[in-house]
Amino acid sequence: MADPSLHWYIVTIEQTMTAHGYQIVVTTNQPAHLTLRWTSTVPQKHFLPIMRRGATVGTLIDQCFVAYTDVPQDEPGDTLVHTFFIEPWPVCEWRWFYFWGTVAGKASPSLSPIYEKHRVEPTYGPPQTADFKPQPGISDTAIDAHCRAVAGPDGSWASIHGATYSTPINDYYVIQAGVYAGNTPDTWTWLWRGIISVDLSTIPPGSLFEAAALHTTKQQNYRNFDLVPSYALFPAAPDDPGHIVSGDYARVGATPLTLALDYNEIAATYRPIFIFNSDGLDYLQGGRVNSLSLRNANWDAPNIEPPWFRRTNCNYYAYSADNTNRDRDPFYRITWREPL
Amino acid sequence: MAKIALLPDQAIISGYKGTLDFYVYLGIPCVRSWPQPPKDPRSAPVQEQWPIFAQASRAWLNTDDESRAAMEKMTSGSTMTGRDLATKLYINGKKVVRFA
Repeated sequence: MADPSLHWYIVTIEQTMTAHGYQIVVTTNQPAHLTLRWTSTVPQKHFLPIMRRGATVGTLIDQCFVAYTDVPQDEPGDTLVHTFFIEPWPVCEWRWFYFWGTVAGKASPSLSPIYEKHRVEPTYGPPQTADFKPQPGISDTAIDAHCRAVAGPDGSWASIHGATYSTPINDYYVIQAGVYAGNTPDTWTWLWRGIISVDLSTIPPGSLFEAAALHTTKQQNYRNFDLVPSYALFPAAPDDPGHIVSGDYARVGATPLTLALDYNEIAATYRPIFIFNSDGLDYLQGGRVNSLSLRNANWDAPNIEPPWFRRTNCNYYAYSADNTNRDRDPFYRITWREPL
Repeated sequence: MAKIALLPDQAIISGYKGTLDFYVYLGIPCVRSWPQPPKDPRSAPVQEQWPIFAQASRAWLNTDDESRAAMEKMTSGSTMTGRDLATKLYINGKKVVRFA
């Protein structure tokens, strides 16, 4: 006998064009964890006769779905609202998709109908520019913070770079990125990674980002000998962008999203600005909180052990939203065009 | 139930409506007494299925226009209605959509 609690149906479906595809949001009548399955191959429909006492009294349908890709929902666990981003989706391509899922970890026999969608050429309104700031302290939305990892007992670069435990610092007056060398040759003491999140929910999903930059105010800029450390922004995926935790140290990516600034460029200005490159502009998403990591770009991000520089710093300190002077707050200046 | 050599005329078959039921099974003409509705209360296995069918009926009523249009399109060319499909997808969608 079927268990009624394992079944669900779609109540609403909304589809919003993004810069490179669609955001699809569905709601269900009961919590479930859904996966969207899509194909660009037309599902073939077969008709099966219904036979009753020797006579064909009707036809059933049977549809085949082949060459498909599965996209799990963004939200963890069982939810009533399910969000999916289907990207990239070339302009003028037809796709067919349906939803399948689980309830409390068990496979559900329910399926949604098959929807079809044609990606049209997006059109956008005029450019708009505004500043977006991370919140101070711990908040409901997005803050700036950093994580400080220590090396393992052997003090090795591998142990500090791949650390799974760090000290999260959510409400300090600076955020830090860089590395501090140990006392013994080729050992390391600390490695810092900044995590700077910003709430872009007032920008509609599907908006095209034309320019962006993180404006910082320098607090300190250290290096050793003639080394030239550099810094940039990289992807980050903290569990909760409003409250950074130990494991967020490892939830960072290695693709640079901004042009890197090196020690000399930072030394030449009080307000270093990290300008987004094309990967960074593609990374930004309207309608949600976006998280990025400020990391050392020549050693930490590519995982190249630096030349050892006994018991000194190579790092950049920028004032955070927790500092006492609002003129020093970091902010993202973003230019975007909204979809029409 | 009995096998017969030949099905009678349609007029004769219609005349026995409510009494005798004529049909063809695996190519063999047959006749049986007119089927009677099951007695109340229904058996336990039948009653166990009522809640899921009740919920399945809401799958069509409570879904949005776009989902209904998708189901109507899936059933076009068949004798199923979108509502029939909503029930089938809710109870066991894998009997409708196969993937490879």
